[in-house]
Parts: sequence; C-alpha cells; structure tokens
Amino acid sequence: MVRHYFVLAVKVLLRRKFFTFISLFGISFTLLVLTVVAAFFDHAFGPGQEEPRQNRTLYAERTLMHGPHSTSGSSGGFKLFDQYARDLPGLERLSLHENGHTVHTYLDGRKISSSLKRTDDEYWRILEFRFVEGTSFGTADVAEARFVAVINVATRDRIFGGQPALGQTFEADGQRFRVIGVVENVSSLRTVPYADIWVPYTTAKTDAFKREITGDWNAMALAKDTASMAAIHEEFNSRLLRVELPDPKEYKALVAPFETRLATFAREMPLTDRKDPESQVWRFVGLLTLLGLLFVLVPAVNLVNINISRIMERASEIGVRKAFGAPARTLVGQFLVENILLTLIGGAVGFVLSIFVLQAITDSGLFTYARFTINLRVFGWGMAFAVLFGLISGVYPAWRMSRLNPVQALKGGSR
Amino acid sequence: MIQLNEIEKVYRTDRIETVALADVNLTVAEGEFISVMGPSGCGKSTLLNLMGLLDAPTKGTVQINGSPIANYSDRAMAALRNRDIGFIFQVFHLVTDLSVLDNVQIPLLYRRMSNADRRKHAEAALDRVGLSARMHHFPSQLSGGQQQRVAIARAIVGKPRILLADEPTGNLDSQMGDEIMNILATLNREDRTTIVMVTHDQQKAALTSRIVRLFDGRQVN
Amino acid sequence: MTRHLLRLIWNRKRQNFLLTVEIFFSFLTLFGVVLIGMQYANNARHPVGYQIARVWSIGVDRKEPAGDPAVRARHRETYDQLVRALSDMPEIEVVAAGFTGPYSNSNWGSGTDLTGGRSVNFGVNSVTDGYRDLFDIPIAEGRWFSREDDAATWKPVVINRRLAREIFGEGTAVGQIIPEAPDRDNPPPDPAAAAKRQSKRVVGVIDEFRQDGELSAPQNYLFYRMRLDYEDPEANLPERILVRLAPGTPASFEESLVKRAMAVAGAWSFEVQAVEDMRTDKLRSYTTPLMVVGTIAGFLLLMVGLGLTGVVWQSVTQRIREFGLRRAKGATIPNVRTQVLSEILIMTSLAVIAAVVLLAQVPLLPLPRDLTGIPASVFIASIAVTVIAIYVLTLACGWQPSRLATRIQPAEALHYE
Repeated sequence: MVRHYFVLAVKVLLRRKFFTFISLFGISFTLLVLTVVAAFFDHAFGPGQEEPRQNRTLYAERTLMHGPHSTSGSSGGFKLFDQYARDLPGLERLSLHENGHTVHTYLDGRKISSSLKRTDDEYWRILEFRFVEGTSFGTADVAEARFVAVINVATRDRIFGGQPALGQTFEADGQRFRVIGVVENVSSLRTVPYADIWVPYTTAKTDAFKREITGDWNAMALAKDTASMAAIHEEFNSRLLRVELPDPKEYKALVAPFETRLATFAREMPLTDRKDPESQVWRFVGLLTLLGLLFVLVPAVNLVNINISRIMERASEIGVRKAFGAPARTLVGQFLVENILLTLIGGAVGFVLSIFVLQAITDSGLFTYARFTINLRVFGWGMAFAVLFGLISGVYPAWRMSRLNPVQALKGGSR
Repeated sequence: MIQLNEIEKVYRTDRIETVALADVNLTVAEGEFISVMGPSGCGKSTLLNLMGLLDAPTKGTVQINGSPIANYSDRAMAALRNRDIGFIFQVFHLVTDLSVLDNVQIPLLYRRMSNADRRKHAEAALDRVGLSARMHHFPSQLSGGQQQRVAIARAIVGKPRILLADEPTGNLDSQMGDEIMNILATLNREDRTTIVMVTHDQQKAALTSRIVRLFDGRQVN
Repeated sequence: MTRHLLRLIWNRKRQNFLLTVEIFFSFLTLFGVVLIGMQYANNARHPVGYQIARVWSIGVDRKEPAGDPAVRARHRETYDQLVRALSDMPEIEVVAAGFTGPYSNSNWGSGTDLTGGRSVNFGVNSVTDGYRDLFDIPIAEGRWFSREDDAATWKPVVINRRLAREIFGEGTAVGQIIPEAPDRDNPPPDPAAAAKRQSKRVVGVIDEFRQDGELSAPQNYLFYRMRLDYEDPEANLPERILVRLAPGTPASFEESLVKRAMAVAGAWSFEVQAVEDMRTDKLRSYTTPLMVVGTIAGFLLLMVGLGLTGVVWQSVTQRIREFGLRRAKGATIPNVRTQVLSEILIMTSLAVIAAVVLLAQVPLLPLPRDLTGIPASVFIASIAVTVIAIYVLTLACGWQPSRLATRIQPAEALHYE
C-alpha cells in the first residue's frame, strides 16, 4: 500500500516537471536557509566542545540597575559575585572571569592583537579545554598572582611562529607572562570559553575591580545537578535585594540573574523585558518561531497555490477514489504524504547545499575560529523543518481535495 | 435491494432552479439487471448517482438493502459504497499513472487486507474480464474496450452486490460493446450481482430484464 | 477589453490575491533597501568636516572609576602629563584629548530648551584646544578655543552651521550667548549657584562635524572646551587621546608610543587604532545591516518570481484551449501575449498602488535618527526605482509563459484533452 502511494506520488511529480522544478527550487532554498540557521544555533548554543557540563551550568553576565529616571546596564562587578554568589545552595563550583579585552603584543615591528581573559582557577575545572601543550593555572598560581598564561594555537602561531611555546614568555598590554599551557582554538561564538590568552585575574594592573558591584565580570555556576539550578537562581535573586547599590539616589533596584546559556542571550534580544529578572526564553523562542513562520509563509503560499491547481488536474482520480469508498481522512493523508515527499526531497537538496554554504561561511572567517559543521542534530532539525513545511503547505489543499464533490469531480475530470 | 421512494432532486444556483428528478419511485430487486433509458438531460445519471450514494436527494428516501441512508454519516456512506457498490463510467476514469493491476486494486486499498490478498483478488478480477495478460500495462497502452474491461474488473474486485454502469458502452464500437455486455450478463447470471445500467442504446437495453424510462426527470412508460 | 480582463482576474481572485500580497510585501522590503542605500549615497556627497590622515586614536582605560574628587584630580594630572610626554615625541605633530572622536562607538547627545519655547538637540564633544589643528577642521566664522578663554566667566562653545542656523536663524552666532530657558525641572538648591551657572557663548562656527562619518545623517554638533591644566569638577575627563603623526612615520611606531604612555601611566591600558581603521569598522556597521535586509529582500523577490511564474504557467496550461480558441477566432500573437501580460500588470499595479499609498503615510511616523531628515527627493526617487524594479521583475516572470501561450497552434489547442 505504501508502495502504491509512493509510486503514484513520484509519477505525479514527474508529470508536471516544470511545476515540480519550481516547487523544488523554492523549497530547497527555503530549507537551505532554515538548515543553516539551525546549524548556527546549534553551534552557538548547543553543547560545545569545551562545555560538556553546560546543561547544569548557570551564567550571570548582565546586570541592570534601574531607578526612576535612568537605567544602567553592564556586566557584573567582582564584588557582587565574590561576596554574594559563594555558598549558594546546590552549588558545586563557582567561577569568576572577566570579559575578554583586546591587548597588543609588539614583536619585531609587528602588532599582534589578541583577546585576553582574566579568570580564576575554577574556570578550568568547570570547562574542559583541549590542551596541546602543558596545563592550566591552578589555585596556587592565582593565589600568588603568578604571571603565567594559557594561550591558544592561533596565538602560538602568531607570537612563537608555531613552535612549542611551553616555558616561553611574551608581553601583552605591557605585562610579561610565561606560557604554561596551549589549547585548541575556541569559536568566538562560544562567548564563555572564547579567548586567545587566559591569565590569572590577580595579575590585573590595579585591584579597583574588587570593590565594584557592576563592572566587567561574569560568574559561572556549576550546579550539583539540574534540579539544583532553580534553587541557585532563586537564592541569588533574593540576595540581590540586600546588595548596597553604588548610587542609591539614582538607582533603586538591581537585576542580575543566574540563567541558562540561552536565557542570557534571550535577555538581550529586542522586545524582551530586561528589567524582569524572570526568564525571557519563551518570549525569545516565540519571537523566533514567529519570524520562522513568516519567513516560510511566502514559499508555503506559493506551494499551496501550485498544489491546489494540481488537485484540480486530478479531479478524475479523486472522484473515482471517492466513488469507491475512500474515506476523506485517507484522501487527505494521501495528499499530505505526496506533499511531504516533495518537501523532504527539497529538504535533502537544501541539506546538501547547506554543507557547502556552511563551509563557505567557515572559510570566510566571519566568526573567529568558528567551524560550522553538520551533525545529526542539525540534520534532524532540517528534516523536521521539511516535514513541517510539507504539512503547512499541504493541509489546506488536502482539505480542499477531500471536500470535492465526487459527482463534480467526475464530470469535470477528464481534462 | 435498492429502493427509491418519492425521490426529488433539485439543483439550485444563484438564480436558477433545475429540477433533475421529480416523483421517482423505483425498486430494484436483488439479482435484477435493469436499464434506465431516456433522452439527454432527462436525469438518468442523476438517478444513478443517487443510487450510488454519490449524491443525496432533495426529497424522498433511498434505501440500500433495507437500510435508509438518510442518517448515514459521510464515513458510513463511504464504507457502504466500498463494500456493496461498484461503478463503471462512460469515460472509464482510469488513473493514467498507475498500472492496470494497481488501478484494479484501488477499492481494496480502503479495506484492511494484506498486500498479497489484494493482489490475489485483483488478479482474479482481471482474469474474469480476460485481461490477465495485460496486468502490468498502463491504460494508455490499451484499447477502449480493454480499458472498460479494466474498469469493470476494478468495479467487481471487491465483490460488491450492486454494479452501477453509466453508459458503459457509449465510447466503444459495437463489437467491443457486445463484449462488455457479455461480461455484465455473466456477472449477473453467475454472481447474482444487481446491475443498473444507464444507456442510449435500444439494442443493449433489450438484453436486460427491465427498462425504466425517464423523460424530463419523471418516469414514463 | 479591460473590463473583460478584470472580470477574468476577479474570477481567479484567490490565487491572484495571494500573489498580489506577496508582491506587496516584496515591494516594501525592496523599498526599504533602496531607500537606505540612496540615503547613504546622498549623505556621502557632503563633506564630513575633518581630515583623518595620519591620525591615531588612543583609547584610555583607567581601570578605576573617578567618582572620588581626589582620584579625579589625580587622573586629570596624569592626562596632562601624558599629553605633554606625547607632544615631546618627534614623530608626533599634534596631540589633543577629547571625550569622543570621529568613528568611535561612543556618542554623546544632549539638548536644551531655548527661550521662546523651542528646544534643540545636538551631538556633543568635549575637547582640548589642539583638536582643531589635529583634524584640520575649517572655521567658518569666529575662532576655535584658545588660551583667551581661560579667564572667561562663561562657557565657550563651538557649534556647527546647522546648529547655528537652528538657534540663531540667519543672524551672526559668534559672540552670542545661547538663549537657554531656565531649567525648571532641576532648579539649583542655592541661588548663588544659579547666578554662577555659566551660560554658553559661541566663540566660533565650523562648517560641519559628522562624527559618524560619510554615511551618517547630518546633525547639529557642539564642542565644549576641555582643560587638563585646571580643575573643574563639572567638566569631563577625556576618554581618548588623539595624535597626528609626522609624515613617513611607520606603523611600528605604535610600540614606542604605547611604551611611552605606560611609562607615564603604568596602571592604565591603552588601545591604539588608526582612525582610518575605525572608519572602516564604522562604515561596515552601516553597510552590514543593509546587506542583511538586502539578502532578505532578494529572497522574497526570488520566491515571488517563482510563485508568479508558477501561477502564470498553470493558468496558461489550464487555458490552452481558450487561447487556441481565441487564435482560431482571429486573435493575433501580440493579442494573446498582451492578455497574459496584462493580467500580471494589473496584479502588480494593485500591489504597487497599495504599497505606495501606505508609504505616503510614512512621513508622519517617528523614525530613528539616521533616517529622519531624509529629503523628499530621495524618498520619491527610491519609490520610483522600486516601482520600476518590481514591474521589470513581474513582467520578466510572465514572459516565458506568455510565449508558450502564443506558440500554441489553434487546432492543437482545441484538441488538447
């Protein structure tokens, strides 16, 4: 029976080759875009190479102070997390690290720019970097403010010409560091592990940052298990109420939640309520879905048009099937399957094209060190989009088809 | 087997009312082979459509094997059609993209059977109409008479109790037309299938047991 | 003939409606892209008002907030020392400091209420005296800041022509005090302080200073004078130091420059960038969104093209008999082709008219800063370009199917079954 419908579906597609071509072209293109977007999201938010524990990690990255006349946003301050985020219930580890800064190394008349991140030792225990040489700095290095650094392969290439760098020194932003580890490059889209150079935070030029409630710092909280994440989030929010704000006349409240990776991103999107400490993820997902539907709407409408006229061409066949007792549901199913077959083919074509497109984006170097790849997850998303697209563009024509009066269909149907 | 009581069928468009059938009373007993005759536009096809549950009367009742179908849902009517009724059309209405064998299996698709069973039944039906050799051909490769025979095979594959034929020989030359009439007569004789045939052809109608005549939507004698 | 066509189109209204809606949205998107592109092109015709050749911008990160007055004073002194130290270097021609500079990502905007109920908005900057020389800013009237202003009891400001015209109309601005209405919202707590609050007096007018560069919209601009040798708790400290290099200075000089700066202020960090590179980044921030929207518009147009081709093709094949009949009845090839193309034209025109009517309402909407002040000529020209482009696209899509319609022989078409 499946073979019957499959064979018929293929024949129908081949009958009007031009239409099929146009439809396939539009579908492939649409699904190409959707697959590339899915790969992008997977790369930026999915489980990353260096972040195997992401599913039980919370991040506090943006703070917002607001008062009656003004609002001020920035990253957190060292003091905010150091004083209020330790010993949260359900917390296994806490790491504090600074936003990356661009620093320059002057070497033989060349200027080498790198992104430098100051971190604590817990950073290396929560994340899992791939070391090609040496190791990370530990508790003692941080405590004694040793001028040691971990660099990535790209930096090793630029400063040391690709030679083994362990034990060598280099200068950045006027300070001299000794290399104790070299790691694989991390994509700039993975904002937490990304940097070119990592150094202990205690090597900072001044320690004014230690007294700031808002500043340039982020906190990463590894929960004991996924169940504890909510408790961490709640408890920290309640502690925020007790924080002494730097300018109490100007600002009355502080918002700085511990959130999942996606939530930190969702908070920054337009149309979200940044002042609300609650999660904005659903709004973000809703917005994305809406945009996705709008995007898909135009090609779907084209397909609906083409499908309806195809139905009219097959009026004879429909009339016969109805005369011989086909229930409406079966007819709808038949048509939907035919349509989904078309969109799956389009999805497969779009998928293959997306491999090339992603390779091109990777090669363009648009996003530093990012390597966009297709994995099983992205493939699954691509096929899911194809099926969804087939449903959206097939349901209405299929419904129309099932409502055709058999007598009319048979009459008008020898054309 | 089929009972039509006080049937009236009116078509209404924006401004015009067309009376297709009025005051029609007809009973077809089980195992009868009757013809319905009349000039063009007299309502013959409408009558057949009503008997085949493809359409509903504006007034009056239709009963198939004693069951009034007025209360039947769409799904129930479809099931009834699938089980008990087979259609044969003047223009064959075969699906050009399917092989002969696949065409014949269409009614069986809507019954729960294994694929092997369907194939067996379809082959048997084709055998009865003498087209076993052409099982894997396509309709476009067959003559008019052969296509109509495929349509008959399709109509009988599900072993329906009623066959409704709308001018089955209308598009065929006399020799092929005779062949078709033979097959229908055999079905009626051997399986006691009730057959209602609409026709123009006086000669063909003479081969049936009873002729119902219609003129302007009404029965005449 | 038109009425006949319109009736035909009305009968197929469902399909045609969907397509018309698609064309409508594509029109709007394409218009957006064209408008922004033309506005950029229009902006780029005017001078920016400064020269950036051989100028380097040194972003300063003091790593310590200057809230405390003692800290602030210390920072100001450090800046003063920095500027002197850099001036001594032979590779450097001019040194200046400022709150912000050309092509930076920091914009300071302000506004004030004038007497008589009007209010003005303007971009602001606070700079040292060397700024004009560094950027070679032409003075239209009056003069730039100088030591003359040290003893002034008012705040000297330099404004651009646009702001001058807006405040003072056609009269001279130089020497005038900006007529600010007293600040009713924040009256100073102390009447003596109110008397001391300094008014702003215009010492010079410059042609133009478009901080964000060639593609940005013209705006009002005002400079405050910044002094590093004198403590003024109300004034700002610089965020960047700008230097102009002597001709022939190599890029490797940056290392010595930074070393020298660190020798003076070891705890601070310095980010040196050639202003030309900042310009490249800034321009990219304008063109990238345009390219993104352009890609979306392209996608939409592609889909519309496909949809249109498909719909026209299928209407032609459905009506092959009809076209054959018309030909048999004496319609010539151009007649049939005209019929097909006319249908497309009417659909497109409906969409275009609806879109243009919608767009005519736009001048009434509040728009982001860079898009206000779009001259009517640019707006109208963009509409015209978009209209032409849409028609070309739709007619091109209808061309192939209409060729098909005209190539049918009447006998063949009538036999088509």
